[in-house]
Amino acid sequence: MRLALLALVVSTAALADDAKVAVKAEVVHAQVKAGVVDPGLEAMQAALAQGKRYGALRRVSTQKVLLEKKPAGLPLPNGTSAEMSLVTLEQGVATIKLKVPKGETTSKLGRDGSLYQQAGEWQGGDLWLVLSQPK
Amino acid sequence: MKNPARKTFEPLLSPYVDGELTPEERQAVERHIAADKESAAQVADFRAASGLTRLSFEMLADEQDFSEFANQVMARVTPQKLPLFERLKLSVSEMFTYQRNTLITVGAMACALALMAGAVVKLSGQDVEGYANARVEVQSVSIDTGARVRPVVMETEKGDAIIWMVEDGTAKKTDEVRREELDLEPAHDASQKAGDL
Repeated sequence: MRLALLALVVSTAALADDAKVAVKAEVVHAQVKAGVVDPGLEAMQAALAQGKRYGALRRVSTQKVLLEKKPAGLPLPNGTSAEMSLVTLEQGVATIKLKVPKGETTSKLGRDGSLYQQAGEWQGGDLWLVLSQPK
Repeated sequence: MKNPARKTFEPLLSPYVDGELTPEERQAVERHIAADKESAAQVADFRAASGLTRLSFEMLADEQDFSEFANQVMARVTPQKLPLFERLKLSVSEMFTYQRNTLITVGAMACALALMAGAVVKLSGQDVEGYANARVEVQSVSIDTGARVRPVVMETEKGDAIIWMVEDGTAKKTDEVRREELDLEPAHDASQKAGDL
């Protein structure tokens, strides 16, 4: 009986945890000069072409981050860092806050699209932070 | 000539036939029968009578139908069957009286399992939870004080949102942009913003 009560307490505690939302966070180095576009970044190249035509896109890092109220840090190769946190999770829609050098954005995540956030400069190119649903 | 021992053994002959004597008495009677023909004949008569009696009872028993005997007896012994609700009430009452600990343990285990199942479902659904929206929607953009950039937000047909941080040379202009972008509408004119780049 003690075991059952212990299991009950542990289960309740697990459910009482704050909401978390998983995102795939990629840091991409984009340069205008012609070069290699890493596999899977062709869609990003096409999307950014509305504003700037990048000739090379290189994936610097990829990680899955569990967003919660407490901000999660993401180091950038230029020595700065970005922070991500979950603002709300209402009716299955996650609203997140993304803080990058020089600014801060609040956005609702979407299953079909990605959030591209310019996050500074590095080695003659731009750094982009790409958030999308993990597959 | 009459055997004088017969007087002693005669009362024991019928019990002997019926198997009611002790082993010592039985041996004594058997020794007597072997020596006394009259007692032996009487024992034979007793056996014949006993066999006839048994046979008579067996014949009488064969004539009777005992197939419903047990049910008839139990019907007289068992009281009338209680109504269903009363029987359920009695069962529950007995369970809580005699098996309370077992019931509490089973109940607690069931609750724990249900909660664990809920937690597992919740955790396993983490990858998809939060993405009920089809498109990414930018709610607001703010620029750090003193940063000489202005945000430009674009959206694509596929549901992407792109936030550019465009260099802006004048502080005055930055302030204007800040005021503008704090009230950013999610579905603003992307092509207009793209033209700003």
